[in-house]
Amino acid sequence: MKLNPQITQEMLKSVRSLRAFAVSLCGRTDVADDLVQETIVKAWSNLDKFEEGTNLQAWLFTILRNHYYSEIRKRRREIEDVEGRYSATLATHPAQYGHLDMADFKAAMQKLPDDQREALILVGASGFSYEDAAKICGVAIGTIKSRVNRARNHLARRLNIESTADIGPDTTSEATFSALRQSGTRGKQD
Amino acid sequence: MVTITVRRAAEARVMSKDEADAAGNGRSKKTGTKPVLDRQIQVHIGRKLKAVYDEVAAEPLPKEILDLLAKLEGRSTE
Repeated sequence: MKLNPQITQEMLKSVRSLRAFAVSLCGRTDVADDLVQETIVKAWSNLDKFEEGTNLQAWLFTILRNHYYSEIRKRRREIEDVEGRYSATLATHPAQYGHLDMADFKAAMQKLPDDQREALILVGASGFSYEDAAKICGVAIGTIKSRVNRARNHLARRLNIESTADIGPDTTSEATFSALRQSGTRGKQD
Repeated sequence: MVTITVRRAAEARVMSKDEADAAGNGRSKKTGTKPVLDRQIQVHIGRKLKAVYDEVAAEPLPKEILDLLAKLEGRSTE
């Protein structure tokens, strides 16, 4: 089969984002990495089914998501310790100001119902339109919109953000980001 | 309590079709999305969300994935 080099390139570009989505779905990098590999192989062997001109990234995300729900989730239940793994990962980061804030946020994300979490991530982090997110999840646009809204409301409640005043000054989030960047580079040395 | 129940029953009896529709609409408005979150709170959540996601997306790809990609890419250019 002859592959369009443009498609190959676009696929390579999507892999990092695809992996971030996989991690957010299953909460574990080891499972996510397997999921990404299986998705790549699946996509590669089905490239003839991809309609050129449509969103390749959305197509990849759809394959990954379907594979996750049909295969991985079954397996995951047998080795369930998502929260344990998650806090173990977090504990390796230095306890800096602002990081606790981030840990709370991650924990709150993991507690969201699956459908709300994936909708929020696809739209709010992966950068898909509501329309593409709806296609990826196989539901109506209105459903995606209401899931995103419910997810935001859930997060706001869990994080006890009742009013703008609770967010604090912008320097707080700046501190969070710089702490995150630092811990990110330190983490790689491990 | 009792009076309220009695009044409700009385209202229900005399409720016209239009009134029933209006009541129905009121209900769906209630069960729909909660009052829209403060924009600043949305921005705050959005930033955190992006930060968590981008942290993973910025990580170097694991060797197995890189190997797989190289293998497939090599095959496609054959």
